[in-house]
Amino acid sequence: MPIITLDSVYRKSDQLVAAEFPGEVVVLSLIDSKYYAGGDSAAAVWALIDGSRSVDDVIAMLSHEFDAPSEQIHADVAAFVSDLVELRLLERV
Amino acid sequence: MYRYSANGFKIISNICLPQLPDDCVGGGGADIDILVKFGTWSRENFRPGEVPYVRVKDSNTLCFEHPLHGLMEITANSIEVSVEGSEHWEEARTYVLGTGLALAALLNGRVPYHMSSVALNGRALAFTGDSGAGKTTWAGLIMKHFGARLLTDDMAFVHKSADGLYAQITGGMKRLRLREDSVELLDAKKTNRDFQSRIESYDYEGASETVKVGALIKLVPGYRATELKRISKAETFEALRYNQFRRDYGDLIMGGTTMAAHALELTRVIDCFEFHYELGAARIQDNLDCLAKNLLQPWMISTSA
Repeated sequence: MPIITLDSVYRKSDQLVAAEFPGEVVVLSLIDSKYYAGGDSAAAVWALIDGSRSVDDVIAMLSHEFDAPSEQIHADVAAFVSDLVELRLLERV
Repeated sequence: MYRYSANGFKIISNICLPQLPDDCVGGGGADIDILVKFGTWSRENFRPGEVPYVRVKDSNTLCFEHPLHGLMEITANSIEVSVEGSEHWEEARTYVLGTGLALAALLNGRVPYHMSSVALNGRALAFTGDSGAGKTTWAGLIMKHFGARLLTDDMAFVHKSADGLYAQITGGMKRLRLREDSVELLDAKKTNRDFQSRIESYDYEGASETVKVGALIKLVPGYRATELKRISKAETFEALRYNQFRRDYGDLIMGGTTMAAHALELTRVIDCFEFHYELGAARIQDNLDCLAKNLLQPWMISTSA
């Protein structure tokens, strides 16, 4: 599993098509034609990853949005980003 | 020669394809998309098989063989049909308008979906689901009880509108093919009993225009309690992807990603519902009431206003 550090910045791969909906995201990989669907929290993280925000920025924004301590969501976000990197849906900037 | 218009294709043919709405009969070959004509090959040119199959002849041509009913060679703008024995012609027509037209469409870069659909007050109601789930039956029931017109049976070309804001379906065949256990639910003018003894065909007034999709309904039979529920976008995408007509052939020709991307684009603009129901004469009214109350009433009100 890729190790995710708080100061690292990720962008979405250009080898995908994504459709964002309220509370949902569907991502189609153009590399292997597999598709992935996420619910509320996945859609929120996906929407914030833009190639300029660090993982720490994303966590801080989610913490503010959901009114939850950043320590609480740090592990979940890091694991999720790590999964996306492994699936080649995210690339490190 | 016969001229037809179906699913957005202009078709000219020396084979009568009565399931299609007639635009006119006669005329020349100009301004057509698909030419359907008699072929001349024999089965020796094909690989023997026990089930219908498709193979790629070259980058522009597909071959379809049915072990009983004949052969087709398909390009983006032609379908050439060879049939062994006149008793197979009725079935061959069905394959021309089903698999043949679908493969020609794929070679044209268009994606067919496994759906039946009707037009009701300017909106299309499309039904999808597994074979035997009731797509054709429900299209017929909505026509019978709500006065809808048939758009497509079994195969539909669904695409985004020019402005990208909604999905559209263009009318295709005007014939419903019903399984025996569904026939009693519809009071229709019978056309013929099909090659498979359990299927009968019925002609209807068909719509050939392009209609905005009001809703897509994924049929899930076998539930005693009738329920219509909106499903998530991820589930909508799954339903569309799963029901892309002959997805295996399409992936062969266009690549799975192209097909999947098409479904994802439609997902953005289609409202999809899952309909749990139990089919049978005793339950029809409950089922219709559920659809009317939860989905169709506003459609009818908006038109009469």
